[in-house]
Amino acid sequence: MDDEKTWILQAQQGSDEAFTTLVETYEKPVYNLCYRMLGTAELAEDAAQETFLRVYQKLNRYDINRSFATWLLSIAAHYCIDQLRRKKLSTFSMHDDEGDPLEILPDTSAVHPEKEIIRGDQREHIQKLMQSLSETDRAAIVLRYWHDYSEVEIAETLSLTVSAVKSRLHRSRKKLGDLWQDESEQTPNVERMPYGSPAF
Amino acid sequence: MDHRRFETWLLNDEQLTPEKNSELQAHLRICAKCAALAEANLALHSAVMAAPAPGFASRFQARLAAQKKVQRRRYFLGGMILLMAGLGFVVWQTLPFLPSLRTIFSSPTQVLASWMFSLVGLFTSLRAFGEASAIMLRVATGFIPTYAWPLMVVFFVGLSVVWMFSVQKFTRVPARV
Repeated sequence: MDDEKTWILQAQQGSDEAFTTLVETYEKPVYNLCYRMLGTAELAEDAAQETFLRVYQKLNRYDINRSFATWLLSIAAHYCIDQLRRKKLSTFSMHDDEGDPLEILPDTSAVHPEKEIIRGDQREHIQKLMQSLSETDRAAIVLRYWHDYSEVEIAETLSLTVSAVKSRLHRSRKKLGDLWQDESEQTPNVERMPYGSPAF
Repeated sequence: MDHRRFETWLLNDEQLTPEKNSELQAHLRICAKCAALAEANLALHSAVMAAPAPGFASRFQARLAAQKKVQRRRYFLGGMILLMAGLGFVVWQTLPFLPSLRTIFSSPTQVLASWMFSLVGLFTSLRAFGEASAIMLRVATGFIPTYAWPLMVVFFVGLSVVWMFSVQKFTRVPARV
């Protein structure tokens, strides 16, 4: 039995220490999902904390044969979707009122620091464009690209069918591309990047 | 040039062979739409994880402790309200019998006799109900033909199956599309 299952079983038997270990292990993925969904550090912190509270309360109902990460992110994603629907968040700022964003800054000591800075700008740009996606589409994109989830795992996390996930990802990528083109036309001096990803 | 082919490659996020990749690169130089799509995809592929401020687990522990405290207080208040309500109900129900309580202490034999009388009455009623049921069953078995019994059993079993199926169907959470 691996460490994670041991911690889960101990936590199910009431060990707060084991549960804290689980929190420490998964705080970053849960926070990242909440941050990418909600857009501000303050809301993300609150949503991530609330997610772990819900997990703490529902832990006895968790099936040990399922992936804990998928179950955890499913709770986080549904909470964020509910929050977005409830509050109808229309603003999506990368720089919240609490201060600078907590995202990892581009590594200026990298071999190509200028490339890294441009990539950082692109990441920020795509995050801004994601506000135009629906809550569920945004969750699917975050799970696909930030968490490297397969379509099957996204379907399981968001309670969707695999074909629905494929369709949502396809539609979201197209929308993001269209928005990217619109913005590029408005700012024609934006430097284009060489296409380095597997598909390009 | 067939634009849609390249767009499909990009939208499906496919792994391309070196030949296809060269074709795509050539297309991207002349097609602004596909170039934008490629840049958006590249930005998604270079995504980095955001991390919470240090001390997240400690803040969670504090929040959990606060929630447990609130829950304990809620349980205590709920218990107290239930206890008070229960006591109030008992007192309210006992009030009409308070004068007869005095009788218990003044003449316990009389009270015991009245309780015995009630018990005997209860048992007599139960026995009468049992006898009446047995007579009705005898009449029913003579009245309903033999072949109707299996039909009735099948009907009620079928009804139960339909009921269980309906409950299962209406309580299941469907996968969203």
